[in-house]
Amino acid sequence: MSAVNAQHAVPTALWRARLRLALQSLRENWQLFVRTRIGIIGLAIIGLYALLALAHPILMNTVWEPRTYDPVVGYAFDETQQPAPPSLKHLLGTDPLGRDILSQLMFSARSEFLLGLLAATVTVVIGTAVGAIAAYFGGWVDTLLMRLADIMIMMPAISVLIVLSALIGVEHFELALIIGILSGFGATGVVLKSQALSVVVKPYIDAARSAGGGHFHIILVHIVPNLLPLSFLYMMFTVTSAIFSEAVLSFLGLLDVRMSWGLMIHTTESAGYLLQVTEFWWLIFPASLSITLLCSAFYLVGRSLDEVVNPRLRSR
Amino acid sequence: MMTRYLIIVSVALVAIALVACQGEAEPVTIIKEVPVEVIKEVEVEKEVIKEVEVEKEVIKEVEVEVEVPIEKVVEVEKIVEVEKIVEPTPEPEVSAGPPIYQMGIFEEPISRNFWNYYGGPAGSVWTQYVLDGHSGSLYGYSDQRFDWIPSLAADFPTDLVKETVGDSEFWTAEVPLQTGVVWSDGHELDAGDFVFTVNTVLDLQLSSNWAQAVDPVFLDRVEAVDTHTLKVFFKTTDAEGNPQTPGLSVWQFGLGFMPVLAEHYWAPVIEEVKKAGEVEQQQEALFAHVPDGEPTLGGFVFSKWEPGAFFENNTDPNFFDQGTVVTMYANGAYSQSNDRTGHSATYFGEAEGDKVLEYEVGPHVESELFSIYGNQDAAILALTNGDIDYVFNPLGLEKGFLDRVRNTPDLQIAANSNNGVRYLGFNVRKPPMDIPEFRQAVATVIDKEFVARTVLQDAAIPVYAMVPEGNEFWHNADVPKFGKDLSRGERIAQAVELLKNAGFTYEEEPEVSEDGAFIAKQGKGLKMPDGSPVPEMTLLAPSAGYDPMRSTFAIWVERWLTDVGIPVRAQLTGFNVIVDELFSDNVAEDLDMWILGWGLSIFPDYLENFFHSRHSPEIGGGYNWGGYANGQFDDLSLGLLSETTIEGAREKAFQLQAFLAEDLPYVPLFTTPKLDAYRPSRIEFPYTSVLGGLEQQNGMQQEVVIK
Amino acid sequence: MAKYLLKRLAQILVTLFVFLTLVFFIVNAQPGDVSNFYALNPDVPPETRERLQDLFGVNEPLWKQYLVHIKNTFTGNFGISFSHYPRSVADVIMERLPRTVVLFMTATALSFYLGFALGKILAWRRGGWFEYTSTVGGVTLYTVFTPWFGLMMIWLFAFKAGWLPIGKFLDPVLWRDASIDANSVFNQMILTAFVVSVVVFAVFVITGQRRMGNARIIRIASIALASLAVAGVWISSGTVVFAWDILRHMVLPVVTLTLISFAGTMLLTRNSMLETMREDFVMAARAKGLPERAVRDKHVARNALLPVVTSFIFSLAFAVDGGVITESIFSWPGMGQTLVSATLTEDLPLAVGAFVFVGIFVLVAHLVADVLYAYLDPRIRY
Repeated sequence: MSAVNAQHAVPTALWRARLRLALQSLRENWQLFVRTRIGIIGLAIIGLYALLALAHPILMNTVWEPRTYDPVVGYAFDETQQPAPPSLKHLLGTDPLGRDILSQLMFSARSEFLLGLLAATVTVVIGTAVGAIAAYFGGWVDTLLMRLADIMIMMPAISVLIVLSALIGVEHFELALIIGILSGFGATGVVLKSQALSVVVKPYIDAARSAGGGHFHIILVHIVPNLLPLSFLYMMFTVTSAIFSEAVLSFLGLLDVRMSWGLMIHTTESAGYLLQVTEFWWLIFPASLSITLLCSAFYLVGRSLDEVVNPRLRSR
Repeated sequence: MMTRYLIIVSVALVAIALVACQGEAEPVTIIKEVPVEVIKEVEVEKEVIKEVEVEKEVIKEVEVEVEVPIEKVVEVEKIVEVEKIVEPTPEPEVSAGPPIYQMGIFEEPISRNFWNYYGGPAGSVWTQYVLDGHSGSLYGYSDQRFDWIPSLAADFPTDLVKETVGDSEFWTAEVPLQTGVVWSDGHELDAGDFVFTVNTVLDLQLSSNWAQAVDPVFLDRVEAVDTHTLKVFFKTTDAEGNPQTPGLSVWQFGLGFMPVLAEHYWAPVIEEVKKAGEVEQQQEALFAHVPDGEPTLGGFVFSKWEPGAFFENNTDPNFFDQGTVVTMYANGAYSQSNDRTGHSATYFGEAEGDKVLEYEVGPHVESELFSIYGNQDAAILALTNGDIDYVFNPLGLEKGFLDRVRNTPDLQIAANSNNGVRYLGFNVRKPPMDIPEFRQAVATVIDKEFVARTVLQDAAIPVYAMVPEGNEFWHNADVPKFGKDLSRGERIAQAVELLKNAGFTYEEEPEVSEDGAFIAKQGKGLKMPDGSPVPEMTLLAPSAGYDPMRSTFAIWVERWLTDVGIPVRAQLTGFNVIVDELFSDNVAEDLDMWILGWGLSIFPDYLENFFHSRHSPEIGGGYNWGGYANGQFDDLSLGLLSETTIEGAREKAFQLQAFLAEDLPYVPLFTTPKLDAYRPSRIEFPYTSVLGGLEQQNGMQQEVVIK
Repeated sequence: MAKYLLKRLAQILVTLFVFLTLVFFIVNAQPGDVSNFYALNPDVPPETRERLQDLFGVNEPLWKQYLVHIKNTFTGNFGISFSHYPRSVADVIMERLPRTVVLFMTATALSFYLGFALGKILAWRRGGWFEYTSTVGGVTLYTVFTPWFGLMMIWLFAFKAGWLPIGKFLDPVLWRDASIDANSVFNQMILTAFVVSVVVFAVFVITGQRRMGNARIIRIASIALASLAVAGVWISSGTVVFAWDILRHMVLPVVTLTLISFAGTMLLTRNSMLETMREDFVMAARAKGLPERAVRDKHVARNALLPVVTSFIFSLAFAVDGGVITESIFSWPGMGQTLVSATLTEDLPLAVGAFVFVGIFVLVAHLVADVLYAYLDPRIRY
């Protein structure tokens, strides 16, 4: 949204120059990112899960018969005993209700990505808006937004989610919204505001103002673009916390979702297989490890981006 | 410099801790006024309330006359099988230490105030387990057969007779009490204790189980004729002056089962409580009382409660029933004799022939310890690890747990039938659910056997009648069973047939695969008899987080109904969200279908309670959420309530079940088996086959023997 | 300084007010009311439900309910817990709090020291294998699916190896004859920690002022002496068995929590160190030719500690929040488990009470962190 507006507002030549600059800095940043190595590990894991998520609908439409492989209502008719150990037909075995674990894993990967992306987008949109507006206007607007941020930061996130899910039916969409709002109005907003403050004092803002630029024009064209790298960084951390929260809430049986990694563990737990670690490993490890891996992957990417975006951390 | 930080940190840390904990130093007073955060409270004990329900009126099938003993017996043996996993091998290593019955629970008991447990918000199963050994009643159930037998009473009551006292007429009966029964503090039990308990319930208008036992619509008063004879007075007319008779559930299984509490301990407390103002405040004051040193009657006295960790009861050395030898005969006779007190009695025939059960009443333990675990997983782990000997599993033992128990050499599983049903309900006020054929079509396409046996791997048992099979005496096995044993193709064909016969039309009829095993093409454009399309309906069901079995059913139902062109979307949601919906003011407009469950009593008067039109929310605010209203059914079900003989009641219950299975305001879905795991190498029960399992016998605390 | 603190205090009070209002609206946003408590019991006649509605004040106007809600919070009256009826919510919280405090103070302190020590090394050795393994390992543990990790720990060390007790916080058979209850032992443990801290603090202040050459020896000796005295008091009091039992049950959750959370402190320390290393005084120290180790520990680490300390205060407060999972897994009946089980059994007053309490706890920690920051950072003057 903001990007589009920005493009319209800036004269073409300037826009081109900016693009060239952006590409150049992107290349440099990429090299920095690569040099941190941990970010690459994270990216590789994310890529792997993205592939799994994308492959699921393709498999369901080709080799996997929905009757057997549907992650929610499938049933492995070919197995006599459920949960069935891994076999050629079911590479990761089946769950206590006779559903293919690999299919569940891949199906859930997609919803985890959607959840993370949605939560991150909400966070960043709100956070950028809060940061830019608070920094630009200052005064009571700033005070109001920062007090609100205090409250959001103060919210014990997991407890909030637990209490909320007990009171209202929470599914993936609501969860993403809640996490996005908590983080966007909270920590992310504060960080982006301090970044925005350093932009607001730049002379070109004054110039734009005296040239008669409207408030929102200045915010969108001059402030927001400067916040984007940092926003992107915070998106990564939001994804981690979204996936983690979803898993914990599903594990506790508090979410109303039909399938997710957390729910897979919950199914295992309520059927009583959770502590038969060696005997029924396929019920326990795929989902738990996926949650852990994807959470750490986004976190690692976030850390490396931090090294790139935050000049003070760059290697000597 | 750095150390300075560390010190400041530690001090700050401790300061925070102290601030946080300072309330600990002075005891926090219990606040009596209920503040506003309480605005929304829902079903504290979910399932558990139903379970309590099951337990407290376990069986109501015994009749007044003693002449027909045979029908009274619920033939539990047939429905029950003991799963012998491993022959119990005697293990000498466990004999060390005092004989303590160690049980596992995974939720905290709510209160140890018996008034509160029996009629207040403390009525959870977990409270019930720990307070089971604290009280007694006039009458009780015999082991396994659930015959109605005297407990604190010395004999059966006299028959009800009409008697005029002053200028009013009453139904009266007299009950003789056992002599020599003492409370745990040595004080003798007398008729005054019963009078006191009844009066307290009436004065304080206690509800729930108390109201069930002491029903002010029927009961006028209880009097002590002498120290060991009670006389009960029932009203002969209701408030409007219509004649009434105190039926089985009011007298024998109501008042007769009322727990009695000690007058000499409670009278001063009640006196104090009554100063609290309105009756609600009096109730709260009573429930808030902490009964330190309360004398008990059930074999155990409270010893210690470490919140979050354990609850302990010690054996009552004065327990009147200690050492009583109970013998049950194949001919139906029941006898008990106690050499210590000299009390002995035989009921339901002569004590002769084959003995089916003989054991000595305990407690045979020094104390009983209920260890509190955080969840079922932890409790089962402690069981398999040998920390405890028995775990209460009111929500059932799923197959993974079963597997773990089976793989533990010295554990055994007792498998029994359960008395409960989970169902799919319809809002019959709305089309197309108001059309019986539509409901029958829905029932036809639902393959209960497939979900219960194949998907859920026998964790569920399909049911067709509203009285489950486990309740054998009252269960009608011969009800219409839509779709039973049909293939998928046949089910679909039959459902389409039913719909079309009722005037439904399709734009495209569903097609079945060639082998008839699967749907080939979903039905489309289903229209109701009036020509309008069938609206999309919502099926409310608990999410997998709350109950995986019901949510699995819901998902399959959604799929099968969609196959035949009935647009249904399963909304898997929190338990309280469903309950909110059912109790909302707009239930008649908003509700479509829902899946929930009931724990049931033995006597099936619940058939009237669930489906009589007077119990629909818009009329009486009852539990007939679907608004089922059928004049024929209403008459039949009221007939069941006024029935006085067992045979007559059974016949009416059978008719009701057949009626419901045909008209289907509910589609009964499934019930679950009751599985109890225990350690036979350390503890021994006189029997393990019983309807509802060891769990509903509260772990047989009075009977268990520690090896 | 005082002016600043007053300002912060006022701000926090306003924040608290808004927080409570939010909680009130969250709770009121849902449909239905208290009487559904009896929803599935066919025995409860409709009149009883109506009476319950009156009893719980459901039918009062909303603004009145709101006022009562605010008043109740400030008087510590969170209502009656349904799952512990008729105990008050405050009573239940006060019972559970010491258990959480003992567990999480220990775990947070441990993970703080571990994280700080590792973070120091990490900042100094950039680019080595040590950085990659500890970063990836630390982050993996930091983002690990906590319930699963906790269960694996239980399975491995308690179930398979049998070294440690499974779940719970005490052994019922040992405690059934105990003349004291668990909470008094917990409180004694907290008191001990406090006394020891005060003694250590005093010793450091005194030795620090005198600038004695043998300060180090005096410190070690007096700390040893204090520990001995404490141990003596415990042993003579006879409750040492019970404290030991609790400690034994604490090992597994504490180790788990430490492993899960040390990476946060580690990475923060590292970043803070890296930032400090660019300061002029570090350059100066190097230029003086001080050994690397001395520069690291004496100059950089001390100054880099500032943000770490404040984050530590926050993490203490949020430990109660994160404890939700760990406590549930380890059957540790503290605040977290109370919140979860209150939620699962739909004991709303308790869930909301615990929630509000955690919120207030975090607020106070904020204030403490602010004060510390102002006190410690020489650059901030108000």
